[in-house]
Amino acid sequence: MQGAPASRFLSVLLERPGSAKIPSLLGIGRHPVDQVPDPSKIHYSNIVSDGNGAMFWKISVTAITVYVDGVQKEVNTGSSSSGSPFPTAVLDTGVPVILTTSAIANGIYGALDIHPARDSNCE
Amino acid sequence: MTISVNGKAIPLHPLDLTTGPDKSSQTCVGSIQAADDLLSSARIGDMILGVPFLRNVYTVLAHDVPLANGSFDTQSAQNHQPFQLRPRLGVMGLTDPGVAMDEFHTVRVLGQPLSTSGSPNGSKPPSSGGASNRGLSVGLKVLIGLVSVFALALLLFAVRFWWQRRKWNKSLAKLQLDSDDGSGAEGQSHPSGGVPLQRVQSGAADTSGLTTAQLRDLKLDEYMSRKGVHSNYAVDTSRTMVETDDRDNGEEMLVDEFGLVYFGKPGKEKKGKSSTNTLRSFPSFPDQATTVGMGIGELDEARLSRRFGLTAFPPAPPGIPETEDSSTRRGDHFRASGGSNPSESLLGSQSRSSVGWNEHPFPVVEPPLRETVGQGWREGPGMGDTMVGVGAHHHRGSSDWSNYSAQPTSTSGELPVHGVHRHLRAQSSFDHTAEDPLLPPSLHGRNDA
Repeated sequence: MQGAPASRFLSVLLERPGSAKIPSLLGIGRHPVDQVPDPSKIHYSNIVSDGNGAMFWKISVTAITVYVDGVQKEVNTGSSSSGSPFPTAVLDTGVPVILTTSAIANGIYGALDIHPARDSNCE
Repeated sequence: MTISVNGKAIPLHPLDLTTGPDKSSQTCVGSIQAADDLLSSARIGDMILGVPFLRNVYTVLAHDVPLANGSFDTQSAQNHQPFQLRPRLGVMGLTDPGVAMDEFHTVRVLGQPLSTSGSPNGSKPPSSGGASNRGLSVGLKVLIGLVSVFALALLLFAVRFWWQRRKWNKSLAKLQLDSDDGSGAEGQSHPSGGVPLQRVQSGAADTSGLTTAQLRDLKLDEYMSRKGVHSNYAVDTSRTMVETDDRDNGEEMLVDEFGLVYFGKPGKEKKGKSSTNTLRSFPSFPDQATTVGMGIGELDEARLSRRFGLTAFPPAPPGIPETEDSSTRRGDHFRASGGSNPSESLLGSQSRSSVGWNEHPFPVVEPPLRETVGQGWREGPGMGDTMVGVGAHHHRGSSDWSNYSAQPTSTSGELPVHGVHRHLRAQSSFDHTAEDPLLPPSLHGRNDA
């Protein structure tokens, strides 16, 4: 255990296809210096817990803002279906899209004036 | 678009919010999709922030509470129990909205790649292009190699052809030269080892009979070897007979060098007079002198006697047609195969008549088989049952026979064979007796004459 990282955390970086700015990295107990020169800028927050304990890794989404042609539009996210004042969100690196409730999706695309497609998927 | 996580607004890259459109379509699908059933059934929450969100943040899954400067207490593991976790989620936005909008404009509007260098994905297409170029060059190398090998083969062939042609020309020139040297060097004018043909004078008194006899012996041997092979397919014709006829009195069917069939015992074939040879065939020569002069040549005496019966018979009188042996023998053959038919009596009478033939001063001429068949038909009622088809078959043979034997007889200036034949046929109605049907009626007629 001498060489083990002292800090108990994992960090994830995912790259964007076609871009070389950000590599895909998995940090164990150490931040990548190039991408994260100042760890103090990392905003930490508590995860959402319910009666069973902490939910890894569920957080609260406090606001969703859409900018349309420079105009900021707030999306009415409503409250969580679980009773929380804010909608809760789970981080999942294995999901290729952002899944939301239809209310939130309609709010987002309504702000963008985009209507659902005929297969009820949002465009 | 920003998503605020616990009050921290995280800008999302516009490229992450839509999937890239295809080349053929102008539509794109947004990355934010509604999944009410999944979220409610799995009790996950209200949102699942997947890859499109995580690309825009640096995510820290911490199990300790970080310090103010972002670092962690390295002693927390020792200070606290390992199972006591104080999880925190750290996010740090990586996307600059202004840069993101420029990038989105570059990619989706202008259709250009996001970065020209440095990206693994961006550097892959040129590398793959280089690889394809190298592959193409390898293919070209192989093609060039094949073409060069083919050209080399052609070159070798051309050289060889030129060499051979030169050799031919040389030899041809030498040949011309040799032939021009003199006509005496005939043997040398064929350097290729060809045997020059000797000019053979074809005449009646030619003395190259030894060669002819040898050739005939070869021919005879060939025929005998062929005759020894039993064939299921061959049928008798007027000149050949397929199967041998084993007779009761020890006589065997013998074939002379011309393929003419006669009966006799092999051991006693030397002397025709004392032997029991039933000589059925006579040479197609009018007399003996002509026979010798006709190029039979230096046949040995035994063969001559065997074939012609010279010691046994006087020279054949002119006008006596020779019988076509094969047709007659075929008649014997059919009679032998007739079994208990009245053909047995025919066979017996024939053997009896053969004795008489040896004693007869003249060569015996058998009536054609058709006559025999006709007699048999007239003689017994059972004859017709077995010999009707045979008679029809031998009618053809008789015609062949007449055609065959007409030639030498006409050369002798005598009565044509078919005339004799007709004469025989005319006499057979009254001149033949039932006891000796095979006795040639022509002899009677001739004796009478």
